[in-house]
Amino acid sequence: MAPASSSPEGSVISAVLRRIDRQVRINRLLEHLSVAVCLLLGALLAVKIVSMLLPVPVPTTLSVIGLAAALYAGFLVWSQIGARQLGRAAGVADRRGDLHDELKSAYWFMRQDRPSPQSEWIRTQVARAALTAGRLDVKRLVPTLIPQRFWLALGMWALLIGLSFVALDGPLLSFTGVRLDDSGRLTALQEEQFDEIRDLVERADELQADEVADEEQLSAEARRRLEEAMRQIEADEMTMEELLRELREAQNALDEGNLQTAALDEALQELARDMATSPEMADLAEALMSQDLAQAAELMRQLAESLRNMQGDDAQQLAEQLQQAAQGDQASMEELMRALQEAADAMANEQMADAQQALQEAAEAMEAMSQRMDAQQMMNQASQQMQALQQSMEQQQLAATQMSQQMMAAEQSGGEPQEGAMAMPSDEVQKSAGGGETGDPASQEGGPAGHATSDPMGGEMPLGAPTTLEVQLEMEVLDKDETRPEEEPDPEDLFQEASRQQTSTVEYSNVRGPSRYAEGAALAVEHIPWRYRNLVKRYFLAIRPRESQ
Amino acid sequence: MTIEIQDQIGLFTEQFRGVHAEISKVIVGNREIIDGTLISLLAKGHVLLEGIPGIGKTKIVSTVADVLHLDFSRIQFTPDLMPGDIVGSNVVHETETGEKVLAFQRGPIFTNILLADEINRATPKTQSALLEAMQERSVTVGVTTHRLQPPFFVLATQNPLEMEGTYPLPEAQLDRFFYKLKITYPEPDDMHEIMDRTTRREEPQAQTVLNREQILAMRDVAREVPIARPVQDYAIRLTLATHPGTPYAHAMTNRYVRFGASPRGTQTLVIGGKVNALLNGRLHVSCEDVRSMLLPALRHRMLLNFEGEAERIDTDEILRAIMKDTPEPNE
Repeated sequence: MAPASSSPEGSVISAVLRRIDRQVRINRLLEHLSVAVCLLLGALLAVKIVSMLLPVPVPTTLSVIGLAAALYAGFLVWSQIGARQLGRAAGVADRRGDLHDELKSAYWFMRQDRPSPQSEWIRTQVARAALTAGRLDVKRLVPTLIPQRFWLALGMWALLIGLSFVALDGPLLSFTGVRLDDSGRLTALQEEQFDEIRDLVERADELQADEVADEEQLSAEARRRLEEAMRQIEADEMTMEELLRELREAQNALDEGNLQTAALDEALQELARDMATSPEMADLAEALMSQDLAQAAELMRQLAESLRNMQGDDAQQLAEQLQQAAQGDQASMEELMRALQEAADAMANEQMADAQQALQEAAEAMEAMSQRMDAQQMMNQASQQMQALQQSMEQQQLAATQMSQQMMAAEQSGGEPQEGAMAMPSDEVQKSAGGGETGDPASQEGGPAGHATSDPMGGEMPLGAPTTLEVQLEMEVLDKDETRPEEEPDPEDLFQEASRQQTSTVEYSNVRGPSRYAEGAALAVEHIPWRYRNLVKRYFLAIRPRESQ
Repeated sequence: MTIEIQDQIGLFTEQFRGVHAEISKVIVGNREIIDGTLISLLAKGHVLLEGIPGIGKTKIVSTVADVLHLDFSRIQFTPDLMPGDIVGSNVVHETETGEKVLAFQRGPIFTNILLADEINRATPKTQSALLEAMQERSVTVGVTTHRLQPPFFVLATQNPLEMEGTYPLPEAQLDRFFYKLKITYPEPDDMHEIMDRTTRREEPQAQTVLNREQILAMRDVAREVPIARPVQDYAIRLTLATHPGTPYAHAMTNRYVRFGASPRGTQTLVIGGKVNALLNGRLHVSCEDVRSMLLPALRHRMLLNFEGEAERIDTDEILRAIMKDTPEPNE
């Protein structure tokens, strides 16, 4: 006998089951889609809300959500391209149509290739199931259902759109500019300061570019450090501690030029004093004295022009004074000194053209020195800005540390804020923050701190970067260990004390007595067969002591 | 051929309903008991009726015997009843020629419907005399095996209250019973009907509606009903859920059951499901048919452990939990 699946009745059943299976798949797809949409919108909503409250790296989060959405879409496609499950469709039809497994049985019989002793009964059953299947209204039996979750998704979408119109400047939970995490993110004001510093350093770098080799440029080193720091901050790869360290090193690099500038300034003063004795170079000496090298260069060119009309003793006198001025051995003024020496020699030999040429070169050397001093001035400005930025960041870090200490103290005291939870007084913090990094005696004695590098041109010696709070705390801990080692509490004593305190907080009414516990344990373990329970009860009633006795 | 099968189904249903209606003339209520008894008869099984005295156990059995044109015997089980009193024994018999020979004297078990009243009052030795007859449909005395005439249908009763002086049926004996049916108190309306019927001068009498051949034909029809593998798998899973310590075991089974139902229990579910399907006009067994057989078919095939006994757990409670937690197959 041929399998029932090839019979007309079997075809009818298969066709109906295929339609039911299609409806089931559509409903399942809508169900999965509604879940996916809700999850996606929920994730986007969470990202939106979190980004409004806290500073989070949104692009990374969005990429994760995008990847998850792609994976889910792949799952949906995979779930739809699988083989038809007509048996499952038969089960759905039986359940919803109250068919008492008629289609499920018929479908299983149809798939059997071997003839059965009950073949006539099976054929009759399949025929009857085909009649039942033909009467089924598939659309009514398995209607296309729009999941209720889509309404939820619609609500979330509307909320997401609504939140997009809320204008907020930065995270709400920024605690007055103090960031909560330690990811190295700057406030808007700090970023502005940072940009200004970078601009100053770039300008100084440009001024130095023509005069100094790249590897010798202090501003180039500082610029490189700043750019690297900014890149790491944007990539969220740098903590605030690391940023502070980078700033200190960049500031040190910028401040190195002040030593050369101070020496140059001193040499210019000496040169000015040498030139002041000559009436032809009095204005030039005054310009040098006032460190106006651009004016001095212009006056030097005017002096070169005036050599055409100079003759005899005047020329010789000027040559002698130039010869005297060119005796300086300042390395930073080597070019200028050489030009002055050549001019003096040429004038002594009455070669005025060569002398003019040499004085022109001296004027150019002055202009170059002028540019270097301008660059150093800009670097000093950048250094000042860096100092201010460091102080701002340290205060921000201090505030965050105090906040965490306050929270820890509150947790340890059972949620009640304690007095003095702001453990470190502000004046102490200021003192520790201003201390020398390498144990400078001046700073340890409470001397002026924190502004030592702010005005290097004023002649003050740089005191270095301030000591961080962590270093100060470690120093205090070490001091404590060295001074009072015998007072170190035993960890076991601490545990016992904590245990006693914890026990005293347990209410007496909740403590279960050992005897009651034993009774309960005995009753819980020992089972008395029900047929003996009355006997046991009567036994204990019989041996119970009389009240009168 | 299809029309013939549908006629067979129609005739089966009609005859069953006729028997049921005739029994209901005498027995008030207890529809499930009557159905269960008839299903057991048609499934070649035996029934253990359990109930307190006076609620009609014996009356149901005698009424079933009345409506069926079959031989009927009743044995009142007592502690001094011997196996020979049930199966018969060899006695000295004198022939017409005056020769004395040993001849087998048949006992009351040689019948079609046997009422074993208060079966738990007999000793295990006597109870075991029924084992071979119930399973093999034969009786062996000495070296001679005597076949019992089909249909052979044992209806045993027992009283769950008076435990003293009784011998609880061993598991092997219990497993021979197709169903264990529990008879409970009748409802108030049924009580009125019982009073009306039994306190008058003439009590209602049931008429004979089925003979032996018809019953055997109905048995054959019932076995023809096909069952799909998913439904059979459902019956197997229900049975396996009563086996403690197995992956299919229910949580209550693991806690309270010592031994679960045997494969004979699964056979009961399937065969009973086939009869039930026919009674509902179906040509296939459904999961619902299997479920409807679960309690009477398996309740006496589960042996509780010590904790189950101590907690007075009823096997019906475990079976209901299994029924609730075992999902129907998808395919």
